Amino acid sequence: MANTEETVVRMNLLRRHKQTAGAMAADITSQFDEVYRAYLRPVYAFVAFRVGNRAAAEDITAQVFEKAWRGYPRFDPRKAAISTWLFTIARNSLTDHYRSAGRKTDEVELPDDLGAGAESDPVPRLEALELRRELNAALTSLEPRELEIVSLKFGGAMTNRDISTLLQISESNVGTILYRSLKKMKTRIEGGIKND
Amino acid sequence: MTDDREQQELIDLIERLLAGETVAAAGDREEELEKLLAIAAELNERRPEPSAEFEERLEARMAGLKTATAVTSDDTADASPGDGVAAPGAATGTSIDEKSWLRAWLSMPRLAAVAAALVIGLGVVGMGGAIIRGGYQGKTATVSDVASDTGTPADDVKTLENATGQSAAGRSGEIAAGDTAGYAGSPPGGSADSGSTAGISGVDTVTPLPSTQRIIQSADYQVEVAQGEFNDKYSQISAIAAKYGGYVVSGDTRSSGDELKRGSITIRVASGNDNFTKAQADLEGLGNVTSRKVSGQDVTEEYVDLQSRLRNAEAQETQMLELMKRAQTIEEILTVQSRLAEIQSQIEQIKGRMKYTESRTDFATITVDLRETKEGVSETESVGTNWGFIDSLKYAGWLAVQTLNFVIVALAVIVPLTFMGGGLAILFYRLAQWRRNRNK
Repeated sequence: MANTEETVVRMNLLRRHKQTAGAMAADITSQFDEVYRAYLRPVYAFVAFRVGNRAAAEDITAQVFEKAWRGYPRFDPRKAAISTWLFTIARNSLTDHYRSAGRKTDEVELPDDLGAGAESDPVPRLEALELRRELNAALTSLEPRELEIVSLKFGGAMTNRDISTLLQISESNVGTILYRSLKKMKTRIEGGIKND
Repeated sequence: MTDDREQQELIDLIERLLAGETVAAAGDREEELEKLLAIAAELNERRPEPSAEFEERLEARMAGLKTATAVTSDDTADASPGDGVAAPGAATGTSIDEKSWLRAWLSMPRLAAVAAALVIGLGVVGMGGAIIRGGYQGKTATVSDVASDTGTPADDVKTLENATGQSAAGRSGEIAAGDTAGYAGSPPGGSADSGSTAGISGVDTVTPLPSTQRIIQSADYQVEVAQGEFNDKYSQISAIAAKYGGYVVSGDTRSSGDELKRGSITIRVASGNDNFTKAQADLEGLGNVTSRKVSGQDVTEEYVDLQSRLRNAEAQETQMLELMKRAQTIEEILTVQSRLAEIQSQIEQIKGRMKYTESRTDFATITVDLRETKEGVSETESVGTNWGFIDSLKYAGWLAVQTLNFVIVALAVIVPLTFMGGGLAILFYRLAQWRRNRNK
């Protein structure tokens, strides 16, 4: 049967393809390791800024890298920067998180103690706590979009250009929003101090 | 300074800040800008960092994922030219889409043929199984028939029925009405089946093993009883369960073609008080025990481990509750709350496992396979007392008839199935042709 021959030929080709795919897989694993090492901290910081809760931040970060690992073979570096791609995954995961938690996306939680280092000296620690509380309060006063950009900037350590591609807005717009957000936070902090 | 210029300068400064430069206060900057920069610096400084413990955990998880996907490497094979998006460095030119290959092979007429073959194959296999079952049971029946020398035509008809009817009646088995009474599938404390002799009344005598030793005990018995005694013995077993503070877990009864009843019943008796041993002794008296298997599995260590984990978790819970009282800020309350929830779910899990272990060790499980045998007749005797020449002639004759029966029954199944399969094949083939013509 001619079909059988054809099938055999195809199967041989497929087998050969699988072997090269195996070598490629090893290559991809080492590439992904680099991505993971470079972006674990920024992604975590971005997520933590947004959810303000250590357990949730860890959960979501883990999800992001799991999804990234699964999707990595289909990622095309010619089409998008790796950071844009990773942060897109992170944003989607955040949306999922808020949806599954039954919360609206624009709600902001108070960030708790997210940093790892705790200073031992009680006086600076108290001051730091005070400052953090103020910062937290100031962060909650931001609009969702503003918080997103602040988180991407200071958590994700992204350039304005990358943020602009990620959010599909102009680069100068990113700068304006960032500027506006910081001004808002400043007003809030100054107002808070006055109120005390 | 205009807002625009201020904005531009701030953005530049932030870039430098993020690049790791220390952007010291400079006298020539305006106060407003200085303040904004201070906030930016603070945000940069306070960037949340993943804990080392989390990093370790994630690393391990990722490593697990990698080994899981690296073996198949199908994900990478997915990056076919059709996807448009290729893996970095992937030579996609030679890649072959596995799915399209499968699709080509499973073209319509072939699909039809495969479907028909499957239908017929299933029929034949099922039929073969039924015949082998029927033939086997029929054989044993005849051997004892021959031995008792009552090879009357009526008996032969019966064996024939046995062989052919077995596939239907023998497999599902007749469940005698009274036998379902044994089904008191409820644990102690649950409602008892009204017809069951294994009443729940005996349950209050439950005396579990001392908590120091946890053993999962079980026994399997095969007991032969005389014809007609089955129902009686069956209820006796239920009574044994009740006597030793246990209950009937499940039971089923079949009566084969020659009306010899057969069934199995699973009971649980409370451990401790030597109940398990006593119940076994009682079972020995039921009839001729042809096989017994007793086993015990010591799970004390597991149980003690669970106990200490529970104590530990409960201590943590108390601590957390204490901390909760002292928490003042929302952050503190949230942190303590999430940790508390974690610990409490741990406690529930541990308790669940402990309960499970307890229930398995507080009661021993005994399964009794009960079967009736014809009185005075046993297969070994029949072979030993005569020369067997006539028997083997008779057996040969019986086998010949049996073969004929097999062919008749097999045909009855295969012929309609072949028609069905063939019909399906033609249908599919026509459908494929029609589609091909339409596509032209």
